[in-house]
Amino acid sequence: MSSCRFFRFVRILAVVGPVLAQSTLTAQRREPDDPTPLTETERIQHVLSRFGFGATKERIDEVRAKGIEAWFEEQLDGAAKETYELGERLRELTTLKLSAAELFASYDPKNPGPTAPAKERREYVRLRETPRRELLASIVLRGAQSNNVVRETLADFWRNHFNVDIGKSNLRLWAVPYERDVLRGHMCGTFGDLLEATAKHPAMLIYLDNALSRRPPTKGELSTVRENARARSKSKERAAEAVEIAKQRGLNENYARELLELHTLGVDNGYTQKDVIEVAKALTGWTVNQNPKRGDVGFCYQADMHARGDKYFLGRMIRPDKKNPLLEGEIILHRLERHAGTADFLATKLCRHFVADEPPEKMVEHVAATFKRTGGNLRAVYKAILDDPEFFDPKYYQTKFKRPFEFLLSAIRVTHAQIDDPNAVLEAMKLLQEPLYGQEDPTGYYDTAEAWNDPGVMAVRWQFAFRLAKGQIRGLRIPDEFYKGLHPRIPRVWKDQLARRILPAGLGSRSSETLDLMMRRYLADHPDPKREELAPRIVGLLLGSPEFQRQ
Amino acid sequence: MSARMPDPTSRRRGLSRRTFLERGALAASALSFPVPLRTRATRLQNGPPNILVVIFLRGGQDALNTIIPYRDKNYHAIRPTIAIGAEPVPDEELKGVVRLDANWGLHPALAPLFPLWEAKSLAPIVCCGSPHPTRSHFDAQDFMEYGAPGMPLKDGGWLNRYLRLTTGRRGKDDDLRAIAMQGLLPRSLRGDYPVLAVPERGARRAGEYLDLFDDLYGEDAARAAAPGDKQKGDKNGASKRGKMSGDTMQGDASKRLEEDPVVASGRATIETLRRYQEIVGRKTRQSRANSRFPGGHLGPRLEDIAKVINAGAGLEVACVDWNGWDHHAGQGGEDGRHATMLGELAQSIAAFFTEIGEHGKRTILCTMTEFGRTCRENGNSGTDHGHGGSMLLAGGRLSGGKVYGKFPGLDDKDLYQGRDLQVTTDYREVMAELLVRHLECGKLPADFFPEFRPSKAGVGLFA
Repeated sequence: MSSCRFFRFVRILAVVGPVLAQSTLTAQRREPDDPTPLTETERIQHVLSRFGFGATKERIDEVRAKGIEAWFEEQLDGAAKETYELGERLRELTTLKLSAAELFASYDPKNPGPTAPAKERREYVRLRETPRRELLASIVLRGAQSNNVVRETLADFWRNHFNVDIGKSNLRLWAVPYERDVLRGHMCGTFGDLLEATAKHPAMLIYLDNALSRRPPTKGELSTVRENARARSKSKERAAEAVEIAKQRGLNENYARELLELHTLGVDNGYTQKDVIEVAKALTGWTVNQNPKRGDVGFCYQADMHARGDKYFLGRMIRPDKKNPLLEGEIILHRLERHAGTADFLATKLCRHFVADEPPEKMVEHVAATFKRTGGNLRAVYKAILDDPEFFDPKYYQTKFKRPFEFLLSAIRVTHAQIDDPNAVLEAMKLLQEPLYGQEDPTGYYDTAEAWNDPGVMAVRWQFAFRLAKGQIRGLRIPDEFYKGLHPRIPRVWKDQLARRILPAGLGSRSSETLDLMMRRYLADHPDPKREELAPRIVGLLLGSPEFQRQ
Repeated sequence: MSARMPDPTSRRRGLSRRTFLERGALAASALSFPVPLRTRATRLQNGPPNILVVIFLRGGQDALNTIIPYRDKNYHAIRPTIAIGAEPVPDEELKGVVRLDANWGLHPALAPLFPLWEAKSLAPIVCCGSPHPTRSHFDAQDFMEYGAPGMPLKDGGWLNRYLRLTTGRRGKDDDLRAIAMQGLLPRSLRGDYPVLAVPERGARRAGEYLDLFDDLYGEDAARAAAPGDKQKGDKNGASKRGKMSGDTMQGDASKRLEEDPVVASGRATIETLRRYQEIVGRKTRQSRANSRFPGGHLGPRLEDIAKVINAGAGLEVACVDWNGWDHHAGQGGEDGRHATMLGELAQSIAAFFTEIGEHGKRTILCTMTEFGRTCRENGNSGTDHGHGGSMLLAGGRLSGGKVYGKFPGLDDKDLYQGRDLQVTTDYREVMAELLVRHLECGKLPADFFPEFRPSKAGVGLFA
């Protein structure tokens, strides 16, 4: 019995020995509760994990050369040079640059009807869908390939904060300028400008129904309705009914509520249902012209929809200004933007997104203070997160569960996968329950593990990992160059070589040992393994490993 | 096979079900159950468990056009374009609504539910919902699904708390006690007890990859069979353990990883999705063509739940979310978006009870929503966020054929804040009654619903 055990032990040593020697080459992953401060390399990896859809060797070297702060500044400026290839890909997406007027002129075709020839119908669908397709493609391509990756992570944050659903109404057109001019245009400016830009953008006004919201009719208008109906129908009942219908026309609270609840103060943070109604009233008339024949398409003010009279908001009266009817709404936006509750709410949300599901309180205070001090200067706010001593606290290192968006883009980035068809990535986002620009709820997608780490979802991640590695996803492939440098004669070390590329922060000891065992078993059966067979399997397992699900 | 580098084309069916003894203890520690798993002997002996199916209608389902107080004098006046049917005229046949009793009728699109009503298996509850005044979808949904209105969220949704509470008392370890028919869990099922969220569009295809990750996410992955030890087929836990247990290198780190929620989730994925596939994966094109369920969102999902029930897989709780009930504009009356969705709801529920047959006697299906909508329609032929809502319950164990809940009427003074339906039945009363009387979970711990004690009388859903 004991001798049997002894021999087994020897046998293990014989095989494990050399592998262990090899595995020292792998960056050892830091133990989860190791309190020693992060090394320089770990700090860089951490920044790239949270502000860069994952670290790659090339990116780490780049940040090391420039220094974290200088690199971050350059990133906020969007000053990193983009590759020729990405530039070319984006240039092909011609609708990205178009104004709303141009989009409506060229990409809002008339429905030829179900009886039209198939060719005509196809052309109709193609035209109609082009702006949406190109917008989503551009986000995927930039997310996966842009050298200004920090800006991509910021756009992702704001896209969820000021969520709109591209499936609603004409948002397939409006989302193009919304992403370009509103989100990307203001995400490194001030929060006030960003907020006002969303409030006046047709994408938001339509998505949250403010475009429909109007004051209730006056008595005079009701009597006109009654008379007209009476004249038309010659019936007293019909006329009364028409009046009832007209009476119901009125406020739509949808946008006003989410403006307070989701965009600025946070839920129930010092406002009441009455405030919601007052905001809705102040914003009546903020609507959208979508008909080019009636003037420029875009945000417009409709005086006859506007609710007149004083408004009371957060305990203060706002008088309408005859010359500038937009002013009362703008005052509300301004007060919201300067409200301490907004600074706290946004600081919490940013720290939750970029640092930890339970963000450290001190850091939130620090970031909120920066927000208040700088009047919502977002660049300063982002830098405050990075400058906060707790940002590099080891307890947050490699702990945040990746959302599907982050999982997919980091998988593509670390494997240098070529995106021949961005749709391949968009489909994967759908399968993982995070379709791009497809969130119906105005909350946007949640960014905590609690919302994503359900039994069942891992199966879909594993499926993606393996299909990507094996080249089974049409439109998405890992180039041969990725496998260059694998040791030509000692496949035993491939696992470590690939792990260093895919998980620069290292594999945990448990996963590492499990993979070593799997390798040995495989090599026992396949003494002369083919690179094309074995390497993708290792890549698939690494992308599906517990370690890769975190950043 | 799993003992090798994986091959995604292979299936390892024979091993997909493991026995309780092999993994019970480990699974328990891995998922950090507060309650120790007990052996089969302590299971309730009286047959298969009762089942609760919850359909959450997200967005605030309009109560007033679902279960309709057709006789209320204000009903037609405050909904000039979207009221259902004509105002009733004495001695004339009722137009539009499906008459339930002297006061209440169903939306005509709900007509497929009428046979359940006649069989006394349908129990609508009117003016039911959360007492919390919020009109935020997200808060209201959270409050409802955690069973804690206006309070810091309890750890885990109300159904997850039920599953934890009854762990070990019910269900074999390899039973599929609860499932959600969607890629992410509804809040009611989130929490420490691992519940399968069935991957959308092809649980089956995603399931092909389970075997590959068995080792990486296995309960004692790092201690798997030693090299050269080519144990094929039987990957017996007992022999596996101890092989490298002398290895102190992993020590505490591996223990910590045992509690890693990502690993735990991955392991639960492997175990439960396998079991689910065994049952539902048998679906063929033929069976799809012959299905009695309507297409669309709800039908196919209820069909899969019915399969799990019919397979006797120990199911106790199943959830389906259905978005899109937030009809601010274009809600419509007898026709329109609300009517279309109600039609799909009713047809799916009717098909569900036909499909599960005898199991309908131990199954209750229940719809809920975060709040009702304004009683008056708005100017866009729709309604805005309101307060009191309604629930529809169906199932053989109910004392149905009766509309539950007190209805104060539609006069302005009777409305909540002059605009919405009141809440006269707290939704937690219904939840508590379903848990205690239907799922037979025993006495609820006092803090199961924080700051709320269900009344003695309850709603009276069970005779």
